[in-house]
Amino acid sequence: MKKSMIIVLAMLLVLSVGVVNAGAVELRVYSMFSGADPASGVYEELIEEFKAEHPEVEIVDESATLDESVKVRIENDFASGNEPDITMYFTDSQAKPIVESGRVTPLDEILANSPEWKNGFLDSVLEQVKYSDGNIYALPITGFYEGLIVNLDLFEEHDVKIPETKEELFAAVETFRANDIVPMAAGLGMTPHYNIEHSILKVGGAAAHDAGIADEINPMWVDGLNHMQELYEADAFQKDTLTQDWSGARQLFKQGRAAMLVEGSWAIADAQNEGANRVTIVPYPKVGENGNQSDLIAGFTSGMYLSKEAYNDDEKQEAVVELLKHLTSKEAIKKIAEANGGLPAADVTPAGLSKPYQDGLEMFKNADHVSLPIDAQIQRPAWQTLVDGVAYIVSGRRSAEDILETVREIELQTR
Amino acid sequence: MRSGTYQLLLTFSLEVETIKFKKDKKVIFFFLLPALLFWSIFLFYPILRSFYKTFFFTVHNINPEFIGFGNYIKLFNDPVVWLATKNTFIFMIAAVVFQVGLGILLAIFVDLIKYGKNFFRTTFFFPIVLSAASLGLLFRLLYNYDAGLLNSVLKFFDMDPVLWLDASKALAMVMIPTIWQYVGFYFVIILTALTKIPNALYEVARLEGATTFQRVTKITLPLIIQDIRVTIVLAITGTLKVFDMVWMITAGGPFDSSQVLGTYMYSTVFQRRLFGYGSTIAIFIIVLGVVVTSLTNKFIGDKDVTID
Amino acid sequence: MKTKFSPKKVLNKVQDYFIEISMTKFVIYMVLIAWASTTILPLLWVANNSFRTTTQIVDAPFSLPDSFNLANYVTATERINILNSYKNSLIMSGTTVLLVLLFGGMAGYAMSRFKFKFRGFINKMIVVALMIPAFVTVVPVYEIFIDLGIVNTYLALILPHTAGNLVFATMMLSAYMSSVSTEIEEAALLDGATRWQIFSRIFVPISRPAFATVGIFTFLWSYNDLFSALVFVPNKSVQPITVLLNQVKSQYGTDLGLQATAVIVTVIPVLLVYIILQKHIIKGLTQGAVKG
Repeated sequence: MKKSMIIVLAMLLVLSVGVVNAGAVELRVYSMFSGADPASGVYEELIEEFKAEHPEVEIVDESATLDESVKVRIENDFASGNEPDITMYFTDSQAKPIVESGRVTPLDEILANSPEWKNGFLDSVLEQVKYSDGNIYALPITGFYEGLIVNLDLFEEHDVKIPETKEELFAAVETFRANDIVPMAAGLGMTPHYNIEHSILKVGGAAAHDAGIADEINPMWVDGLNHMQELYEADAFQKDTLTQDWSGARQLFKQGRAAMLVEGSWAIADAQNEGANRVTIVPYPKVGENGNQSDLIAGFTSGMYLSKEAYNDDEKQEAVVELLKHLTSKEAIKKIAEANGGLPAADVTPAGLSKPYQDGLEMFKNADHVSLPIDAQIQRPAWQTLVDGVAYIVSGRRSAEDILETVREIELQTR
Repeated sequence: MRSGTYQLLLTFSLEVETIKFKKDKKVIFFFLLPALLFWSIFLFYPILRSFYKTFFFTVHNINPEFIGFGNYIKLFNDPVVWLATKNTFIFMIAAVVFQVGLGILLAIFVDLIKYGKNFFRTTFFFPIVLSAASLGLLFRLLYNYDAGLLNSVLKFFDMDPVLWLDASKALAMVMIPTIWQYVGFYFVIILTALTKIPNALYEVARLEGATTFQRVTKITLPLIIQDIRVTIVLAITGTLKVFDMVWMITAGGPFDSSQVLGTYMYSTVFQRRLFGYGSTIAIFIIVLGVVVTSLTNKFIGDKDVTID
Repeated sequence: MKTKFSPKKVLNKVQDYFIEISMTKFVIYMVLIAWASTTILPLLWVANNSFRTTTQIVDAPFSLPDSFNLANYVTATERINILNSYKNSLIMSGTTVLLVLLFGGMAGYAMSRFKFKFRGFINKMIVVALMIPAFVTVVPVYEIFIDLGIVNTYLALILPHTAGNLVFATMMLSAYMSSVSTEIEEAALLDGATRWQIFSRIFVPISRPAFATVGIFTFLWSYNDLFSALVFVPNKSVQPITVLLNQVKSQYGTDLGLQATAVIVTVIPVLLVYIILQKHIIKGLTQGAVKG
């Protein structure tokens, strides 16, 4: 190798040791508000505001869209003591590696010492993000609701009633099929999550949906999964649904080729396709005897965690609590809810929401009961086994009982 | 006389023979040390840790529970593993035949022409630089049943639409883009290998009246056999790791019909979060790879060839 | 052999020659052009989409260029500090390439020109190394980096990328060096040259095309590795440009136009590196050294 090359190499190595920070208090923050997230702009403003008010605090923003590699990083950060000072993460069954690492602070006492901050949150919401040990480790910002997103133009054009019952649902399927429109876009192959939840909820009711699978296989789960098969056999979904995920399903809906889509509040803006579709969101129809028309899947499954180490560090404590307060204040929650159309965790009314989002909030308020999604209640390996089993069930290759048997086995092993 | 030269040029010595020195041991150590250090820390230490994990049941990589050979028993009784292994072998044969084959063919063709060499060298590289996300999207849009390009073309000719990604075709449909994307890689490697063949050899062959075909089979291919062997090993190991394009297009479905070992390992680790079992699949893949490449080397022979 | 000179015969021969040449050449060009069209069109498709909105792409995925809208490029510059990310990428991938060429060249030389006890074993290890998946290495390596305190520095990507790419580099370079004539080496040794001198003065220049190829792919793989970048360097000011690809999607929807833009923005430096380095993949340098 030439000498010049080695010199260049040495220089690059010196350079690469890089990034030394100044003496100030440094806080590392991870949030999911990044990139394509509609709230990323608001989040960045909040961080800038905080910086302006606290010039002595240096903020290292590690936010990124939460994909599998970022999950690995975060779980591992907590496992090995390299956790950010504030971390936004899930509060459902995925919270296990975070909370059980013992590196996050219970927030109950900190909240109790600051009543104004605590009163900003809705009590019911704080209840929902409690960990199974009864402590609050994460402060929620916005939540979501799920339902049946419908293309109003297609329903009106073909004179179809927005379904509220099983009969109406199948009637709609038949009419749309006859008119060469995909009745319900779904990604049954890769992401049947929302269809599973709603099928079980609306066949078996909230109690069955929330029962989990560890104690026994609830017969309503079998019926719920068979409801999906019935729809599949009635040609309700697009032909290639078994190799698609939510993005493929949403694309058909956006193109105006599909009339219905089971999804969450986060999808509404995208489903409208910049106004090309007139849409609204309604509860999934009541399918079985035990189902209840207005019941919903909704809730809060993420929040901001505070690192124990940062909280116990005298130099950092004040700044990190201030920052957490700033990011989860009533005003911050309102701004974020306005940006992403989610349910605010505080008692505020988001302004300037478009019609479908107003419909969604209305639907949420009218619900008799809301359940968290099934994956908030059963362990991840078991849930994924159920998800992967859907293609087998709807195509009749394996029975729902058979798949649920396997799911239960894995659930018991995991616990 | 001429004929004699030709013969002489085509006798290859089949052994690496260098003069031996007493100090050679130290020299070998010195030359290998940096690479071995890097591999030990960043590859072999992690794989040993992973191997250790295969004896545990762990979810989310926390609270491991010792289960002995439990994961291995599960592996041998897991029908999806065997389906994925079968698919991976089909994929592997296709990759060796088409990826390496087309790579060699295109490289020899580009080597034979006079005009446009740089144009082809540059354009053949394009698919490699495109991300799996964008190519995956492209092929999903081609295969899409209701709005895809292929079915639009069929519709234009008044033919019935085809479900491109059903259980009987899905594997082929994910193999095509994966193999196509990396032909350019093998093309570049073979093109590089061709640079070491002196033009004088071709010159002699031309004077001897050899045809283009003879020139390729008698001179070019024998001289780059070592590099072809490298490409075959890369194609085999590459296929055992194939993942992103398959994941983007079918995620292994429907009914695991396009499941390969790479995608199954990914979904076990990242979707089911079963780290112990995922590590077991990783070990299985490595063992398969070592066995298959050893057999291939036996088959092709692993003697070195030098131009003397 | 003596034949009577006949102009007609000569003419026929020349004609035959041209027919043979042109038929072969014609087929060759047709095959090359056909393949090139499959490789060019997807890139053009992505480039075209980078000027369109998601709605336009969803409504007509394969339509011809209908607008020349730079909005996506503006958004891209807002999402990420592009110049800074390019700089990070070039420093990290550039250093990786130099380290890989140096150490890979050394290892390739040892593997191809010496016979020693562990050679077969190391060859097996190389095959094993080729198949180790990223998820296996990422956690242990991350723990080491946390202990060393080099998370969020350039080294956190340079070191694992160097290790990973050294495998391919060693294979490729040793295959190339293995066919170099032994005579030159012997002559140099008899002249009193050291092994290092033989390596750096003879083998490195002879193997320039192989070094160029290894450089190209090392750069490409190091540069494109989104997975490691998201784990080892979470700090935005140190992240490479490829992280932009993580910034275009979320459950709220994927911005297809911006995704295409991100691809184009990240692809350009790689193509430049390829075009620069592939110039070295040419015949001629070896002529003097390889006996022919």
